[in-house]
Amino acid sequence: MLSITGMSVCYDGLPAVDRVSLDVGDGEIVALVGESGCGKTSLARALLGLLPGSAEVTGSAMLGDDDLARRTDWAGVRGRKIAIVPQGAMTGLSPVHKVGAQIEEMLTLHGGRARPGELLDRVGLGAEHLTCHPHELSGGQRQRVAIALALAGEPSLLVADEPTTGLDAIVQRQVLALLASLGIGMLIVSHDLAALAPHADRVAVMYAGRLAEDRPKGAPPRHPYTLGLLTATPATDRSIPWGSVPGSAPPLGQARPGCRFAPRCPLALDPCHDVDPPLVDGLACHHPGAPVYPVVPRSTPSAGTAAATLTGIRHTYRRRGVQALKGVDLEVRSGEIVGLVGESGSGKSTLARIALGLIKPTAGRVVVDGEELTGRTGKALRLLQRRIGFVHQDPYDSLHPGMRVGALVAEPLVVAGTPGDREEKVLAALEAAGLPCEREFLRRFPGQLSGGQRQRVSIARALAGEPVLLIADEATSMLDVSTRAGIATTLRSLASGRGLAVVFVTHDLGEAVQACDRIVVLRSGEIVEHGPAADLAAAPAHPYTQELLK
Amino acid sequence: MRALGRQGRTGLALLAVITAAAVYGLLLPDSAGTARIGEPYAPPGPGLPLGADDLGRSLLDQLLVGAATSLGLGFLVALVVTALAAVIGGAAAIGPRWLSSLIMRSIDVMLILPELILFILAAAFLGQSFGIRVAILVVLMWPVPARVLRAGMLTAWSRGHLEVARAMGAPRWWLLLRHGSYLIGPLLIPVFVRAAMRAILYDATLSFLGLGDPTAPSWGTTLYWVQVNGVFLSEAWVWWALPPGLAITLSVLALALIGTAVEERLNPALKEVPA
Repeated sequence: MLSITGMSVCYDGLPAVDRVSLDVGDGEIVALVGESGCGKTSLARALLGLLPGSAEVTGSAMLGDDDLARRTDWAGVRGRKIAIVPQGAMTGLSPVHKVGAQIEEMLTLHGGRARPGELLDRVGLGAEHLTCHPHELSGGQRQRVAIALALAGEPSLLVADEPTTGLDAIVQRQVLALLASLGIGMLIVSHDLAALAPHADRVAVMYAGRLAEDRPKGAPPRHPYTLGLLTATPATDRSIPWGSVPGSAPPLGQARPGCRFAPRCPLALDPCHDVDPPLVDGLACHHPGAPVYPVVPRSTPSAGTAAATLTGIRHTYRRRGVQALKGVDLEVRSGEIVGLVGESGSGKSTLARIALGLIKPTAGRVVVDGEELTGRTGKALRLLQRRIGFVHQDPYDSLHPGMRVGALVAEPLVVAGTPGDREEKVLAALEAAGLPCEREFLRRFPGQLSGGQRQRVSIARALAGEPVLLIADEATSMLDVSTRAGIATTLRSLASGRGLAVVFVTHDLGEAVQACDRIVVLRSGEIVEHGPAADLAAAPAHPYTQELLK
Repeated sequence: MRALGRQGRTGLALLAVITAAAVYGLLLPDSAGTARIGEPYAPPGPGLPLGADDLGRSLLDQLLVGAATSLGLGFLVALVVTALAAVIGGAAAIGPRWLSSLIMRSIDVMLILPELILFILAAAFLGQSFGIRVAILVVLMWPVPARVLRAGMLTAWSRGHLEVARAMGAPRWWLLLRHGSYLIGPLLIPVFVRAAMRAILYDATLSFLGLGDPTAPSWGTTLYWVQVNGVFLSEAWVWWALPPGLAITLSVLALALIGTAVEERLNPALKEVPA
């Protein structure tokens, strides 16, 4: 039905999508997978002519007799033959119109014959939702409405760009199952290979603008990058190792000749660096095989003394009247990694900020390194805070853009007024965080680093003050899949090597199972289950944990 | 310069021309614009490019000296207002809760007062010297920018690197100087430009109403004499009323262009989508 041949998308002459050919058959679901910056969204948007004016599209994309790549007049095509559920669609609904009115508008615009109620029924919502405003619906329901809007013009092909981003794990599965059940041709763009694989009829993997692999459902993955992506997705089974692909994807226009993946591929030989492999039989690789990627090491828990103890923590946000935490106890011992798992709104970030002394809890005690943190203010609080390291969720916002790496990592030392040779300590911290221990690196700005490197700088900064406790708040959530396990490996080496107590806050139970010694599952401000990671993964006691582990 | 776009560069060029005129005006002897050098109501001619007013004073000299007064006052007021707004807005954002509510409620009160009437009353009672006019303008103009800067400070305070710095036990002055200044600094430029723009307009208004210093030439004062002498009934308005009016309009336009360009540069979301 859709046949893309040799399509390239260039921004200012630099190719973001490079000679990609891909077919989507009638009623076929094709998953287009890759990490951020691999060109998958550019390709999807090029199909609907939604790229900015600076983009230049070459090649062809035939939908029936229409060449979408050359089209300039989209009337009667966009929305009727090909429709899109754009990235972040659920936040793009009009806040002032009822769901019914928004669907009516789409039906009128695209001449759809269905009734609004039928469309909602098709996406698993009831007719009673027609009179709702978007703010009355949950994230998953809003995403369903966004899908209903795209279906209004009865398109024969639906493009869904990251349809599960921003949703909780359980809802993500429901939305993907819904998309798979619609029965129309679909191109789903996503970074999450493991979640899509069960639903897709075909999986196409992109890397640095090139198609690496295009295989039908059931066929084993063969490209080293696909295998890397799979091992980088944490399984909730401790017997399956969690690996990472070293290095990072090349920025736009800096790809080298030869196989794009060669610089990161463990199997690369000389021809890989010189000759661009053509896509033959659904695979673009000179040396397919079983690559060995570094995995997160397992360790036997050797719990030391308590580094932090939180007892009876309650917190109510006064402004909103939300009870974020309803009596939570948590103990972290030196040398162990405790996973704090919960969906959005479970109170995990509030708990982390209470442990950091950033939020005063309504009730409860926090003891860090044998001294009580709660109740302290001013200088006394600041002195104790210096014994806790903090790795922020967002590596793009947590590093001062105007400070060099050297100054960033030295900041805790400067703030604490630590005497002695700061540069030596900074270099030691960089090395412990898995970064190059070079003076040249100290002079770089955050803007010159990749996401993974930024997060490692953030870890190095947290280490510089020689803390007893490290709190990593969703430290991997904004990184590319291939680099997440690397961060977890670094945290593990810090825990076992330095005896650091680590609190690993995450929304992904799989990550916690893989990386932590003990897991605490939070839901609506209460602990529903806690215990050693291996036991919890093997035999979850609470139905909520069972649902998360599915 | 290039980053400001065509609009911003036009504004900068205009402002540069007006500033050059103001500097030239400063260099003129003290008697310029106040001494009688021609026939009263003289039309433009040799030695008097813009003619003379009812007392035979050169209108061109008045325009140039007035430029120095208006721009000087505008920039001085803007400087003080920006500094004051930064301090008060910053205190409202990160100070204790009681201080914050006190400041915010005072700003609310200031905002509902009719500015121009207050300004006229204050000028009428307190006098017309340059210093007093600056002081009155500052007192009337700080609330709006203080609110803007408070909002900016609150946004900055929730940024990741500030949160990390707070968690590492950094004192407030460190947060402010190392992290806050970097985020707040760029916001001060549009605040400054807007304050200068409004100060120039208000001062001209006051002088026009006869509440300025009638002996010191300024654009507003010239317009006041235009009104008193009924210049609009003759053709003299072309060289008497038009130049100071145009000067005020162009200064405000230049500042507005610069302000918009800087704001667009700082916040690309404000930029209009090219058709």
